[in-house]
Amino acid sequence: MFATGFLVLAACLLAQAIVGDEVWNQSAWRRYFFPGFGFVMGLAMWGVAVLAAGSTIHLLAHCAWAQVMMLAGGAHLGLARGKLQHRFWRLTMPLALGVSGLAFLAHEEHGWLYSRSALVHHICGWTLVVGALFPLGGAFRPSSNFFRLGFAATFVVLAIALFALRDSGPVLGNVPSTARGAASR
Amino acid sequence: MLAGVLWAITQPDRLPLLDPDAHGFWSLAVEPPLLVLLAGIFFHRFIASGLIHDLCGSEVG
Repeated sequence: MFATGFLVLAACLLAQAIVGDEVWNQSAWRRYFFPGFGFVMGLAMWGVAVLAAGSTIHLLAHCAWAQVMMLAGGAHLGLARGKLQHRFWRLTMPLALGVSGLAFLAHEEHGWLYSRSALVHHICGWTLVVGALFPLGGAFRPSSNFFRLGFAATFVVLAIALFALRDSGPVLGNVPSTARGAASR
Repeated sequence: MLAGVLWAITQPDRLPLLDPDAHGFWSLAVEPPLLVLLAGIFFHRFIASGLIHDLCGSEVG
């Protein structure tokens, strides 16, 4: 479900980077969609935190993730509405991506090649940590296509990685049975 | 949309709906190729069509 959300967000960010802010912001629906959707995904993450928390570190990671997603979504809603003016509010997005990446990496206790699930967690974590550099640069150079396309590409990679998590086929050869169970969750 | 259709055709094992007895609830509820297809339909219906209309309008204006 989150992979689908990231895919839609990636398509929107790519489209916005291609057509430019002026055309994109002509519709209020489009202007509020990205931050609003991010905020709703942050809300949904609380459900994941409650339902999928296998341990304390899982619970903390998902709760931190939910909070920063809601913070970034809410701040960008305020920026889109014009209620927030200072450009430093844009730093909530790299904060959200950075914290989310660290949450991914912190709650995955196994190495990269332990299982499909572990591999996807490491890929998502590092993608988010590196991807946080794009909105960070974009906060100071909003018109840069490089930062905009890099930000969109981050969500494309995330979506692909999360869709791969749903695959029940072996990706690493001899996948341990416990790992296979974790991957199919 | 095309990516979702191609994915479903090339990897039908990713569609648990085709073999419902062998899968649990969550596998049946989440069908990755169909979700990609739905994401494409959503983007086309609610984002792309209006965006193209506005883009053509701004170019004409």
